[in-house]
Amino acid sequence: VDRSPDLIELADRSPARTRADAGRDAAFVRLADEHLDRAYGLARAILRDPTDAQDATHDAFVQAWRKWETLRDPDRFEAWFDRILVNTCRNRLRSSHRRPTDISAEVALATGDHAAGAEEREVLGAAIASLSADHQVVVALRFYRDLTVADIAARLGIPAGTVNSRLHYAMQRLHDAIGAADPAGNDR
Amino acid sequence: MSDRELERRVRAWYLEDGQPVRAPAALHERVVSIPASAPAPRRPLAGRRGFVLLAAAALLLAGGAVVTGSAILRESPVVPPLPSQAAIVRPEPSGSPLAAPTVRGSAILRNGNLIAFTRPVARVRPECDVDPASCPVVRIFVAGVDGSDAHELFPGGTTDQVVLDWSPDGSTLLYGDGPDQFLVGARGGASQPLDTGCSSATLGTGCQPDSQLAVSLDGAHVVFVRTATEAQDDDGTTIATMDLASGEVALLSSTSAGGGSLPGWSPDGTRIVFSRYGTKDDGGPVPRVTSGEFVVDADGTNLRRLTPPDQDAFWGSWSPDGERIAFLSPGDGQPQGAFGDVYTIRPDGSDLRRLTFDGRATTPTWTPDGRILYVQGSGSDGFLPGFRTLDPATGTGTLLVSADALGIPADELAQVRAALQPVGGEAIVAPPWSPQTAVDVGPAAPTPSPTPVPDLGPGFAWTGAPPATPDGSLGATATRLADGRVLVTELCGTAAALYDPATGTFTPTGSLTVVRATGSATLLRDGRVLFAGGYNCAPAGEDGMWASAELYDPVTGTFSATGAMAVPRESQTATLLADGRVLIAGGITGPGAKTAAAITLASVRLVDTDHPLDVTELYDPAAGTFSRTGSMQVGRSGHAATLLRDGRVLVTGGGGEGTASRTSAELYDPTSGTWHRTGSMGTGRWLHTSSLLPDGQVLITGGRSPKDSVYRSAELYDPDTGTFSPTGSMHDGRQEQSATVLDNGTVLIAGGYWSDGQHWKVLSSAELYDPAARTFTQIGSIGTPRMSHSAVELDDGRILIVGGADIGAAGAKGVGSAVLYTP
Repeated sequence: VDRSPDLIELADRSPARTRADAGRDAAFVRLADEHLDRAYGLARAILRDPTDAQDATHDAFVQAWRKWETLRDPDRFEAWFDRILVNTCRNRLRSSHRRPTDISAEVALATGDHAAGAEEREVLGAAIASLSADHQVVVALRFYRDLTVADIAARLGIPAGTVNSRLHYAMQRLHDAIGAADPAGNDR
Repeated sequence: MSDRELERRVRAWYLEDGQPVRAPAALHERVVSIPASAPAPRRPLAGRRGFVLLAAAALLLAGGAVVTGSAILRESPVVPPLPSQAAIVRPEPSGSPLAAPTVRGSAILRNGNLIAFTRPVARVRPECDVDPASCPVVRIFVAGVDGSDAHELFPGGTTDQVVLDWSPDGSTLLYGDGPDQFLVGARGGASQPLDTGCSSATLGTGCQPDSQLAVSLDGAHVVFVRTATEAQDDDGTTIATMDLASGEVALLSSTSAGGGSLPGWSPDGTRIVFSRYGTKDDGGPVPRVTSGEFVVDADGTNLRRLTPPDQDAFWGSWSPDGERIAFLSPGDGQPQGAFGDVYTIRPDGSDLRRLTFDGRATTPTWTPDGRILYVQGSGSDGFLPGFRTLDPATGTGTLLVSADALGIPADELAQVRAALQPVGGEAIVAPPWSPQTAVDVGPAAPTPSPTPVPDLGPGFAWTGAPPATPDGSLGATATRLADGRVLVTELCGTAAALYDPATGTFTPTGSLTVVRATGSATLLRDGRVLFAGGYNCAPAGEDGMWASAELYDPVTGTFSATGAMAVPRESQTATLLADGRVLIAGGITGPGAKTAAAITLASVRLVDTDHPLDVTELYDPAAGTFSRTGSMQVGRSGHAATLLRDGRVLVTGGGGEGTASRTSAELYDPTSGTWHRTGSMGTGRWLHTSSLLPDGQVLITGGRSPKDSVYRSAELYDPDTGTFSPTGSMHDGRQEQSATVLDNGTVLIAGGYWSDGQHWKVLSSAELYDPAARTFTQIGSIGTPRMSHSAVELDDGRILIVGGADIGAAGAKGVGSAVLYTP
């Protein structure tokens, strides 16, 4: 990460830290510490790439820090932060979608022989990667984070019906993709 | 696979090794140090305003000059005051892999004072029903080269835009908006559409809108991508040029095989560099996407690959001095995506140089003064995310403007493409342009080597192919009629055709009243053919299975409705009984929602969610009605049914609840209308075959096991003892193959699908079962791999093999050919 000063920093940094600043900093560090593993886990579930997930997690915490003043109730940090994190991850996913499918997953698939379990994992991984960013996020929140539809809707700030339809279409596409990639398609 | 099973797998996939995920220590350190290293939190509104004011003040203090609000659509000085070098060119942080920066004061003058770039904005696009943040639109912004006064070019729009190019004199910006391309003056004015022959207004005339336009340095020519109506990715695209004065449009024919993207001119206008995407089928379930840079002369000759064949490359851009071409490559071990590293290479393919090393660069383009402008993404130590320039000779990098200064979140940088405004070049020929009819120039694209006609095994011969259908699947059912012709029908369509063995040709006949994929087709005693049930192949939400049935009348060549079953179903068996009635047994029913793959391939039909039926029904041709008869003891789908010589019907295996294949078998007694258990097969099977041999025994071959391996084994059912016994093994494991009893008593086993759990293939092999020797013998190839096809014996004893599907890397596709086997 770049820590060198830039225009924004020059412009925004106030000359002296106050006690309130110190308290705010400590609160942020405490919450960040508390939620980091969970956040990183979710980012990795969505992005699949550990480096990307670290960057996304870091970026999300930076954004959280910058938006700190909008967090009114620290007890609601998790939901508040999840929204930032998910948004960050989704944008990263979307950025990497120069083509309709996630090329990184395809590359991963193309790297040679696989054990049966690994191959199945990769087929499923490729299928998940082929989903749109929005669909991947919903699937991860539902099946990695085990959130209810209502919770997902709250996290994303979208109607529950939209969550439901995204989940429906995502799972439909996973059926399709797995079927197309492996017509044996059943339990191994 | 059931929904629940899919969910289980998805959960397991996310859990990876089941260990709780711990954030790496380095990440922990980065995050907890944010308060100490990042700007302090801002209050939502006041802080932002304060930033702008303070930033302006900082500029004033630092350089003593302020960039005016110079921007497109606003009046601006022709040569604005220079922003402070100190404010916009900053040293690299220590530890940078690149050398210390060089401050190039003249760069700003020679490059003009504006930068045009795209970035996502949170805005509701019309087709998006969700919150703006989750459905951003990519829009063009313009800013001073120091990042000042960044603003949206056309505020509020909801279509995606792309920066195409500046005119060489910097007076106009060419851009794409939605499907079409436009030009707007750098000092404002109305946009004008750019007509190169194909646009959204000419849809339906054989081309999609032209795209990716770039201007030659003389301002008199453009290069762009012409896209055929049916193009997929780069297939179906051709690099094209237009002489703006004469309107002559030239399609560089040589580029059409493989197509092209992102073309750009050499500075002398004699050559074009472009990217080409392709796929490489390397045996994985999904073909790998590949890319490379290509160069072609402007007259379409001398097409050659520029970048090494083993290196992915895209975003090629020719240097102003013509000496080098910059491009982006995903680099060592990096997944191919939006980011990569910047390389340059000489136009003859020599002297490849790598200029960045962190894999976080994207969209390199040359600035008019000979540097490489690129977007630096976040995530790499040492560099501020934003627009940077590189000295191509030394690799020295310089921050032009940070993403923060432009208000672009670092995680959106992959969607950012920037172009510096040039100055002092030629003006572009002003539209309206008058494109003439496009003319092919240069050598034709090399025709792909003709697909060799597959070798056929002894006794096999090609015959006429069925009429083409969109998915090549005519032959999903094949029924020999009383007059010896064979009626074939389409899988996901209503087309039907008749095969005449005398001429070896197919002729269209009437059409099914509805689509009946994986329904049943049964020749009745009166010569008509009963089609029952099936899936309608409609989009999700409108799809479902039919309870209805229809009859084909070979005299009139027409289909007409007859009675309906009690239960909608597909994948049932339909067996003509000795008394002329038809026994419909098993299959699946359910709300529909089949996937495309599931329609084509029985093995992915969702037997566990779709309620394998135990319900059986009888069709009475005289009355034209169905009536319920006794139920099977268990539900079955993907089972097999054979009429025994004594008039009973043997049903074996099939998928039941869950994914298990059944070992059990049942006998239907038409006199009592009841089902009884009989012996069990040695192994559970579904998607197997069942054939009545001349001696009255029933041959069971292959199929899929409860554990989803595919069997080579075969069994014989003896109706007298009601028992199964092993009888040799096929050379290939097969499911969804065909098994046809020949006049000589042997059984032709052809095609099918094989898998060992890790690998799979569709088979083109065939073998013969000899009941006397109880052995299988390989007899060569049926020409093309196919599964779920039809095989019927003709009156003269030959076997017609038609229809079915093959599975390639891109999924399943129908096999459009037909082959005859002469015993």
